[in-house]
Amino acid sequence: MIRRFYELLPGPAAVRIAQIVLAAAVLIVLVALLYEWVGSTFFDSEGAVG
Amino acid sequence: MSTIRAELPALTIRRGPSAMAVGRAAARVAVACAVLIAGFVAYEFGVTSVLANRAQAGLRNDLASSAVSVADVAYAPVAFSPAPVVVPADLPSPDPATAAPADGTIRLMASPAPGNAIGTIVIPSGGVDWAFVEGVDGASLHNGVGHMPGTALPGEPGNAVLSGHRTTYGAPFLHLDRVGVGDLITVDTATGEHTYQVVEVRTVAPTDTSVTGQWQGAWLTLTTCTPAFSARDRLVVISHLVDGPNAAVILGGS
Repeated sequence: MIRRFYELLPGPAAVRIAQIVLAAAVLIVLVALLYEWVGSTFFDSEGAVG
Repeated sequence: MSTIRAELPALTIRRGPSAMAVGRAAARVAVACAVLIAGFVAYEFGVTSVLANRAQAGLRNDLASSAVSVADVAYAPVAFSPAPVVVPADLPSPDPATAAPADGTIRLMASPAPGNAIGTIVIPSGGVDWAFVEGVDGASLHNGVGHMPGTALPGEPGNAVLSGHRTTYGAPFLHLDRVGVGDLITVDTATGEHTYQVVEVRTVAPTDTSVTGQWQGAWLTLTTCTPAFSARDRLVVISHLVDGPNAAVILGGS
């Protein structure tokens, strides 16, 4: 899948790799935000009252 | 006959994806879901705990190195409402070994800035030994335990409210349900070591602010999520001051 994604990207190899690294970083941040939201909403909110 | 054969390709029924292709796609979705769920579990129990433990080390360094301004001031009882708690009459009274003489002054610390370390809380029966900070917002509680702004500071007159996560970010209050009436809680701040005794454990709705009011005397209220692994309700542990540098004056004057 990553290879297919790599082949779809424009530019020389270095630029493609940079784009993949950037996309992976964005994906990790989005997933972390999703985990944080799910965790604090349904799983364990801060525990404070009010 | 030959005409019919020539037309055969045109009669071929175009089928959708084969069962194998559908199965393959379903397997990919299942693997992706499993990876997401595994990542969630790793994040909630692993990553957040690592972050909280790292923050705790920093907070304890802050507590050891920072100088908080403390002042002895004449104690004037504040007209708070009586605590909505009945202290059991048969509670064993801990020996007030460190209580200062009732000279009419109490030791107060300067109001901490949001996010700053205030002190440590230890509850042997609940496996709690955590530094706590000012604030109960998400960022503050990612460090462990937080003190609710606007409530009394531990050791001071009124009701000091501390909150903490139950299962994530180091799970500081994971075993708070093991704490029972009569158990002791020790809070160490710049004003000294204050000992509280648990008088009531109750469960309330997350919006029930009756447990965070300011009451006559000196109280410490702990809140966390309950049941574990759910944000449905709040487990509340209410304790009253029984020992420490301010205990004799506050309890004698309230």
